[in-house]
Amino acid sequence: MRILAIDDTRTLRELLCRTLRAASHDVVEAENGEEGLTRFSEDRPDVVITDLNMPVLDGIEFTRAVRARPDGGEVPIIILTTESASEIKAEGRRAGATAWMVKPFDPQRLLDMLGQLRK
Amino acid sequence: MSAAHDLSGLPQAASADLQQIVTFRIDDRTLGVEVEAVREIKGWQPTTPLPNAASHVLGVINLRGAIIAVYDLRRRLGLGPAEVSRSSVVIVVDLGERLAGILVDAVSDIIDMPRSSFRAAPDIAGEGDDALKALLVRGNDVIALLDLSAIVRETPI
Amino acid sequence: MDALAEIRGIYFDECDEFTGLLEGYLAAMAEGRATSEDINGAFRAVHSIKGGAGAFGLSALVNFAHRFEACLDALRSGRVSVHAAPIDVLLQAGDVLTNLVQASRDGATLPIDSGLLEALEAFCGGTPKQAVPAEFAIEPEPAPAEEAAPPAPSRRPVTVRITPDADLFRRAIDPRVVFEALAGFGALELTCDTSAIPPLDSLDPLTCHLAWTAVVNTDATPGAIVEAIDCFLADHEFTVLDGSDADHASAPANQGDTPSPQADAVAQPGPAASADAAAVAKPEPAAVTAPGRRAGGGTIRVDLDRIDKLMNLVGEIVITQSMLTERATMLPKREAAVFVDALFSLNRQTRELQDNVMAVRAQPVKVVFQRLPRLVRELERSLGKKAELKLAGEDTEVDKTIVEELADPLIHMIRNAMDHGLESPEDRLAAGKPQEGVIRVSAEHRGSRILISISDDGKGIDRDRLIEKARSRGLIAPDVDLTPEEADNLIFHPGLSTAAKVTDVSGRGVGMDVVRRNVEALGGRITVESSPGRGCKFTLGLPLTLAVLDGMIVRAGAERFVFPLSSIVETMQLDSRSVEPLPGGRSVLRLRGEVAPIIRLRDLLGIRALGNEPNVVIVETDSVPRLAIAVDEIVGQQQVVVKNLESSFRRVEGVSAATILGDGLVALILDVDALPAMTQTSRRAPPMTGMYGAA
Repeated sequence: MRILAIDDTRTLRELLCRTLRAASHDVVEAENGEEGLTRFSEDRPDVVITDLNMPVLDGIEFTRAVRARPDGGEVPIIILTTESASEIKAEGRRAGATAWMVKPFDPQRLLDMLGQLRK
Repeated sequence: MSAAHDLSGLPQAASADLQQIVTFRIDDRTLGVEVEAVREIKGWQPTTPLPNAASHVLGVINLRGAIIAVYDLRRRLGLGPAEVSRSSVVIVVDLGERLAGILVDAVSDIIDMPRSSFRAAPDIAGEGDDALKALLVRGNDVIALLDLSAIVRETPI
Repeated sequence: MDALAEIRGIYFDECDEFTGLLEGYLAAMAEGRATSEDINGAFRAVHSIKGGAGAFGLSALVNFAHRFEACLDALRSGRVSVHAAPIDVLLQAGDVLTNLVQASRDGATLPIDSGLLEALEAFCGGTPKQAVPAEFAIEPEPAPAEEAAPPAPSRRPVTVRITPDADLFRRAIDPRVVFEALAGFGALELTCDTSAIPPLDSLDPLTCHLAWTAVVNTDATPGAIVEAIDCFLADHEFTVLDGSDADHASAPANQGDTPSPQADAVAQPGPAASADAAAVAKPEPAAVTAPGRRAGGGTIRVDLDRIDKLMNLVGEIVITQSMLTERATMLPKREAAVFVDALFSLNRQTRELQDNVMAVRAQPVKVVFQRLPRLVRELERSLGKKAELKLAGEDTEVDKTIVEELADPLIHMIRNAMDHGLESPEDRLAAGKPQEGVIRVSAEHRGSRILISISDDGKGIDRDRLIEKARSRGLIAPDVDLTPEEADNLIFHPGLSTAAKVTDVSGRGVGMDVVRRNVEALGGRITVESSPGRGCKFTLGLPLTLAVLDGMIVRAGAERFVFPLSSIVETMQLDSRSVEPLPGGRSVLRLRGEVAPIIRLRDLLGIRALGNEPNVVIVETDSVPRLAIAVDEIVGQQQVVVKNLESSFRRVEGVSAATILGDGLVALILDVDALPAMTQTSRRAPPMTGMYGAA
């Protein structure tokens, strides 16, 4: 599966990418939502995992932008964040986020979720 | 994979009782170092002398981009300065924290020695005797096993 | 686990960057020049530290960062005005955060002043907008859930009502994902409520009109089931009813006993899905390197070690190339032309390669400059002076090592400028200057060097005081007149500090001489220009890298040595008429009215004599402003690759490092500042007869 991983924190991006690559996923990285959109068009990921709070374009704005695209409706977007407040979660869903995972993320849970989304 | 492995394409030290020794001659003496310590053996190349170094420090050479110091074993053992000839070789040894070259007349052999043949070096205060780690008895020959850290020491104890 | 430890290391490195950035942003706020970009940046820096800390279970760090973040969020959202807010609290929090990061890295704990925590809370108007998420309270190795949990429930039906929002499909959710997640807990019975589906003509295929009731036969706790699906569904989109509550369980599940075919089909893949998950979790070894990974732009993080290896390799190419250049001279002319052409290209390419590798190691000086505003503010307070700091050229890049080494000298010079350079506001007014002084720090590239200047509009160097001091200490003869420049340069002399009173800012003794030594240790130079009453400007010239240096190659006896070009004043042929023998076997060289002691390199370093050393290299050293070193031949200028000698042998007096020249042989790079001291000790060596010394 090709996964687009967006996080402005290198450490977390690294952690995410390693987890995914170790599970044989093809990972494309981006540092913020804007770069994420470019990667989204160029690399056509099967799934997107994005941080919420980022400079330039945050996770929710990114999700909204993807969903507004003609080709952006089908791709699951997982928001990975420290935020667990339900109003922000709800905003994420309104923007079109498929799933919401609260950090610290459990690598196995993430991989399980990807396994489910793959169907 | 390593240089040491290349050297031991010869019979492997199969049991813990055997120790492979790289031996070389200086005059009529046979000296040796454990094969594990030897990284490679190379021909002589001119050294760059270092100011204010001990007399047995010949200087430094370029070993494929790394700088290593070369020591004159003869001088260290009190046998006068080495005459460099075509058979002179530098044994590159691993001192742990760094590599060093030991200039010897010629390399003779790599031999397996049973550990039971190791004898403590005699406690005689001859020049250079502090540089010996053990004596190995092999038939009529005695091989002096060098203490590498003592060889490179600049102030003999 | 190793990989995790490695990422942890990366995390802490990154934290250092964040705390550095944070300091800059907070400084901007404290100075009242913060833009929303600064406030956002500060928020993100703290947020990122918190995020990573959460991933590594560093709860103390998470908790503090969370409170801090709440304050910054209050500023960001405008709930608290940046002009009215007590920014000092944030500055203090910034320091604590930096210390906490350090403590967490060391595995230590750090008590946090409860006063600060209260101040942070008060800052954002009471309690943080949201309690610290429970997730952050976990220890690095969370205890297995069953340990603390009450006895596991027995197998029983659990009912899950799923009533998704109409926009479900717009979220790219296939409801089967949720069913599968449930099927993972046990046998699943699913019924679909289609009652809300509108007539076909008004049906929007993208709108979800369905609801489901799932009954799972499981021994899992309701909490576990919630956890499995709440990542896909909002809280109001599902309810979980423990099956023991039979009324609830049976009520919606009207057709519970006869599951629809689709529901069956969905329920079946359960085991298959988990098998898939297992396959995913067990990567093939080769997969770790991620075949088919695409160059995605962006950045990657590389170990410094790897870059250093690359740099070494480039260094070796440089050596090989100079080797080839030497060989070229031996070729017959016709072939040589082609060969030299190729060499020319190689030369260019190697330079380019070198520049590129160096660029990888480069960092903007901003990393250091960012620390200065805060420093100036603190000094303003402690010295009762007013200063405006103006930074320029912060994006100028230089090797990481140099950036790191730059911090101390720079901080020292700012202190000096604030303490000794700028006058008190009253004095300034009296001198017809604005109350507030100006300190400018700028960086720019100049050839293969970086120039950093630190200037102030203060009173300038007190020349008379310096000269008086130098005289009283016998550093200059009473009758010698110094030019203004020479007098100003006394400031670099060890032990001459201009401040009449010792302050805790500059202290005594630790003066510009130390700065100069540090700068020169990096192969740099420092100069000063002062204009009495108008200010003073220090200029640092530093190499862009420490891996290579521009050297002057000389020959003494059969050996070649390298002088760092930065220490050389000039080279010349020795004119015996300018040599003045001194009693005691020494001699000096008359040099445009000054005298320079002559030392012979071969004497100094114990090299066998060959020639009669007809050339001198005049160098500038720490202790002797002009030293003439006699050598046999000036071979030429060349860039050399610096190779550490300490690690391959030991420290050698008078030698700073080694290098490999074009012929593959090693040459020593001289430590010019150590040479004068060596002449003292080498005097004991038997004097050699030469043409300059008296035998």
